[in-house]
Amino acid sequence: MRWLRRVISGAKALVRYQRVERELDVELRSFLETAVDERVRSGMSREQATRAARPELGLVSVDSIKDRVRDVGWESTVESVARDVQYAVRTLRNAPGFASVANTAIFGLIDALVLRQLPVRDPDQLVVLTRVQGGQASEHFSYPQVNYLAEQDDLFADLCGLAADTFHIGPSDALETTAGAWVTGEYYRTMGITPIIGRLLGPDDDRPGAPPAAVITDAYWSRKFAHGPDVIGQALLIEGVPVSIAADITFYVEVHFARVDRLAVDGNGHADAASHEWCDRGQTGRLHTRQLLNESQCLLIERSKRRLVLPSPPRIDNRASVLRGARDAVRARV
Amino acid sequence: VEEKPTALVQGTLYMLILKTLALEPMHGYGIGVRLEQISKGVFQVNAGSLFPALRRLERDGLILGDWRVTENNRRAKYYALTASGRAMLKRETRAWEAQTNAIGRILKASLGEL
Repeated sequence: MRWLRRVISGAKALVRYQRVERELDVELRSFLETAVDERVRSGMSREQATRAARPELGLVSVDSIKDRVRDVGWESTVESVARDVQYAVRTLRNAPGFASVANTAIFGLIDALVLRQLPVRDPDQLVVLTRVQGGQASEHFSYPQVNYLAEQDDLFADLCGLAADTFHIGPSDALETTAGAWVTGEYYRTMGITPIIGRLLGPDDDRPGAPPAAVITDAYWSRKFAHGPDVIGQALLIEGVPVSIAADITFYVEVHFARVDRLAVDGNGHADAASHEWCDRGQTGRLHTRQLLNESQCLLIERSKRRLVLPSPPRIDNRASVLRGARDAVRARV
Repeated sequence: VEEKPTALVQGTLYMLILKTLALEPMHGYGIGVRLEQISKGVFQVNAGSLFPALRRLERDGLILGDWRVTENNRRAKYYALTASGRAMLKRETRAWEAQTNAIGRILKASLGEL
């Protein structure tokens, strides 16, 4: 039952997102500090030891290590689907007229069993998208890709993107690091989450000129505002930018921050209200989608936006039969 | 073929971590040091390979992490082998021995034996 353990572990990782993130931080820090301690014990100064340890341990880019660790949480599902999608691509490659497919990005759909653990509407209709390119599976999408996919309304009833991030909240002399995420305007509608109080972010919050707004969790509401009913409309200073609180929800990240295309943070921690850096710096979203069950369940889309939709059996959560259907459809075209 | 004397054969890092933890529970840094010591410096595991591997083994229920305080008074996550981890190590070790024996036979083969 290793698959079940993987699913449960994936669900736990998702629900306990903050804890897992914090633990990884502590673990990497402790790894580095232990390495420094060892070097100090063998006669180096602490400063020399700190300088030497990072490259020796491959700790030059901690963020990239964290990314690789985070990816593991989902990898098993991605891998198995990726293999099936790759099979379809190889078959496609051999088909006359499809030679150009070789270098294109392929999007596959995954049934995200892990989402069933979350307080969302109809969790069995939610899927996580993965992108397969050059044999590599990834759940990272750029903001334009999220938008493009969201426009495919024959494929998705709703589609949204989320990029986990760490925010610095509060005045400059009392900054507090808080786990959160940038979300696209469709996020809450896709997930079907209801707020405890206030209004959730929506597509209007993504429009140019809309004031930035944030959604906080019940835990954050309790910790910072003692569950005070007047929290809605109060300003949170996020990366130095006042952001008004729109709603409280019960969910796994502390702060959800809309306006992903208009507000980004530069390397110095200053918010730039006109920046589009969110998508350009490769910080991309994890897609949660609500799939129409009686439509195409497996899709292959070229980066050029030409797409090939493969008909397949009716239920997305039966992954094996979906992919079999996709293969048959590909074979039929060859 | 590019020569990489210290590069691990694909997939063997998992087996080596399991083996290291079969000796005693350890934290990430300890695992790296132990692998380097036992291999007499041939294998140096960097954090970019080690932590994703630990996460994957933990996710698959082969190892279990537990927060403890180190001898240097730092908090660290100590990993221990689970029963499935132990079984997996046994299987992997057997498979590895079978493969290396076979490769050894191929490399030593002379025409007279065929």
